Amino acid sequence: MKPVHRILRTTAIAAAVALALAACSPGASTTTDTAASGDPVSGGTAVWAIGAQPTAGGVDPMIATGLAAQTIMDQGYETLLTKNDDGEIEPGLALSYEQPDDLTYVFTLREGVQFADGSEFSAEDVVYSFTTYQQATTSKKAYLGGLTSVVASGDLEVTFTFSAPNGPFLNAVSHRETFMIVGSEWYGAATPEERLRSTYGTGPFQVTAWEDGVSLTLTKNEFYWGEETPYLDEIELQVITDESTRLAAVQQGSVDAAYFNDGTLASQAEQAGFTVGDAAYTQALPIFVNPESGPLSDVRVRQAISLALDRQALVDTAMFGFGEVSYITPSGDPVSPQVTEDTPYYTRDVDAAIELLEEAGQPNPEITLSYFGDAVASQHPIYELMQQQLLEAGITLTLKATPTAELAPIFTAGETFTDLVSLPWSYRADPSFYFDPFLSDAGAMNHWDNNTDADAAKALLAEAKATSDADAKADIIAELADEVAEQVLVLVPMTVPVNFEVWDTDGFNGYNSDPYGSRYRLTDAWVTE
Amino acid sequence: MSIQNNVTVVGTGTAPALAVALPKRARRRRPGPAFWAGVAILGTIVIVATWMSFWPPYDPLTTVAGNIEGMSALHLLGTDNVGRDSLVRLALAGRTSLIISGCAALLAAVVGAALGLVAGYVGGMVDAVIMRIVDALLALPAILVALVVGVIIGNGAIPLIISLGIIFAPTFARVMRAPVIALRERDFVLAAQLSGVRTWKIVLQHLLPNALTPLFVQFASVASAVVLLEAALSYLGQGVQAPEPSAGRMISELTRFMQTQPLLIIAPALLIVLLSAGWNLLADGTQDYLSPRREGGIGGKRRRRPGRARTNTPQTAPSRTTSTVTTNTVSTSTVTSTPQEDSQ
Repeated sequence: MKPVHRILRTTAIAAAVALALAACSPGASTTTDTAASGDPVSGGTAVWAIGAQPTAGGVDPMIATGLAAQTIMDQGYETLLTKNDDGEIEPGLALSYEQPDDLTYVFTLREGVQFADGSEFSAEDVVYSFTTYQQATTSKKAYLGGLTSVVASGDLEVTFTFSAPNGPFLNAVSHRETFMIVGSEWYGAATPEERLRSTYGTGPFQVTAWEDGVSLTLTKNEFYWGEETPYLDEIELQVITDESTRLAAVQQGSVDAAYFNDGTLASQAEQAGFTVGDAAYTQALPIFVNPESGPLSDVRVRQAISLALDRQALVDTAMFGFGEVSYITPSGDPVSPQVTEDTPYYTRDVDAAIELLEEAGQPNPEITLSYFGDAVASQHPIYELMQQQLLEAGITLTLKATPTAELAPIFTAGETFTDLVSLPWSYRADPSFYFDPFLSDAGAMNHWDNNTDADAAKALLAEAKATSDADAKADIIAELADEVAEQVLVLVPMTVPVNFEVWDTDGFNGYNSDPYGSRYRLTDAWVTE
Repeated sequence: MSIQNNVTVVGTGTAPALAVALPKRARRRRPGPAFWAGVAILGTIVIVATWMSFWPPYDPLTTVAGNIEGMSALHLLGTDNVGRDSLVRLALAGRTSLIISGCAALLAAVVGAALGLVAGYVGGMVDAVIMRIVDALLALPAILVALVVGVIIGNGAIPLIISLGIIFAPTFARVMRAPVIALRERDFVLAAQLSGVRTWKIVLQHLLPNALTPLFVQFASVASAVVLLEAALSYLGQGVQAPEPSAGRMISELTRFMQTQPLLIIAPALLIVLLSAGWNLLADGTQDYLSPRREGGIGGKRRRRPGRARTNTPQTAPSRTTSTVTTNTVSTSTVTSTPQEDSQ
């Protein structure tokens, strides 16, 4: 009897252990179709793991322009207009706008809006905000070209007057992360240091605490104009810089949500029972060209490079499919034109590339590509694969992994560079601003002054910037994108998502990602125990 | 000066002891297990690296299969995130690391030994100035210096060798200086000076050969440290550049696949450990082999072996001068000379 007992006991223990393990395994505990739903519940704190805290400029909208700051500031501050996920303009702090002529915009503001300290929002705050933006040193001012006056034409009416048509203006004021409205009294009374560490807006959540390198706390705005929203009392943004550590936090269940730059890690979070949001492919990876000297001054060499690239293979192999073939206007931007098989020099043809190189008298050009060696490591395989692909056409691509500090002057101060430099960038409020840095006179990466290949593109850009009609502008941008591809004024291997948002399927509800990466749906999110 | 005289000086002075010691003294010493373990590890890496360098089954820089594939008959260690064969790349990473560690240690040895010889032989102000500079350089964290040098002269294998060579040169200068100071007062050196032998000849022909033992040990020891530092720098993106394979960079690039394909991290980590351990074992084995005062193998086991009590090379590291045989303390100044010098 003893052996039988022992066997039974062993079997029972093994079964219990197996059950316990099964219960603990990621796949067993959660299923995506059993996500807690139903009526939203007010209260509670959501913990979100972020990769970086705001740097220079903190959360002051007059100074900060970095991605880490933008996605936090837009919880604290709101804009005159917003856009839905299809890119259509919707009301924000302004309920409507009129354009009596090409040079005038009149906004009618929302009634009953209060700042988070309880003070009333009025037209004076809009005037104060835009006047301050004009006086500030922020790069956002580029969107306000030709603005001559902003006046409160009523308690809830503001009139903007321009000296010349400003095409990007409407897009700029409807982007949640550009012209955020601050209060003349509350924000105006805060010291510059306070503005860096806290928000003073009308948004659903205000930054109320910030422990350097550890976390930021966003507290519910009790005076928010939404009827029931926001539901959450607090959002704690935990700063976990290392992506693998962030994944571990997700797998341990110590955070409700997180974002990853690397799609493969987001997939691993998905296996841990988290939901992965619809990633917005808004980070184009442009490789800028310096045609001032060397083989790239010849358009045929540039075209050969573009032809030698197999962009879809780059997406599939280097990025595990987490990318899209795109123009310099990122494919995820609702207003961006999409690449087709007719897009010039986008379909791989190695023989044609070799022919072009022979025509140019440079059958084996040697080209240097510099990229951020100390950042976005998940994108480095793209360059290594490009090197392989170009070699098949006889092009030697030398990779130069460069520290960020060394590359920064190229895109901030217009410092020159050798051949090619890759600078990933993010969503722009107006599509013309994707072209601005390398085609406009003031663009830091514009090295085309002595090369006529860019003349047609420059003319199209000027036309796009002067056009405010959305449809007309879309046509010009499509033509411009093709012209840039034809002349290969910039090389775009692909567009990738700025980040992949993941959240607890069971505990974090009512949320979804948006194409702008602004997390505006946090207003509608709620947590369940 | 004869061997017998030396034995009288450092030995117990009893006739039976001598009778036992002399026959054993004559027997040829063999390297210990530590030495052979080091040689075996490094030898294996060299063989595999040579094989993969000259007859690679796949191009190490080309995508040959799907990415992050597991172990298979075609790809013994699977493939990396770009679909390149991991085994070939790992072998070449081992080769790169071996070459960098060997060359950097050699450069450091040449520069450091030259400084140590000059400082030790000339003495006075020259010695003071050189050694204070050496002290200052030793006080700087190696990784910081390597990063700064990398920024100044660029990235890649050759800049790495140069920067790591400069970083580790001071350790060789110290190791070389001590025996040279001991040797410069010796009769054979004085005799050479009196005979009108040129200074450089005295340094190279009389002093250097007698101070080589610690240099060999230091060489292997530094090579081990270089392996780790090179891996750290490559991990930080400052070492060997893409797409050339490097164990440190493999770890930094592939950490994100740690959960899905752990072998991608384990293999390069193991390579670094093996390379470093290989050099270290070689250093230990060389020390044991060339310095008879220190007995025992990997475990540092020390036995009383009176017949091997004497050294015929100078001792430099104070921690390693403990004699298991002599009852009287032997300082570096009482070290006996080599038979080579006795013949002079």
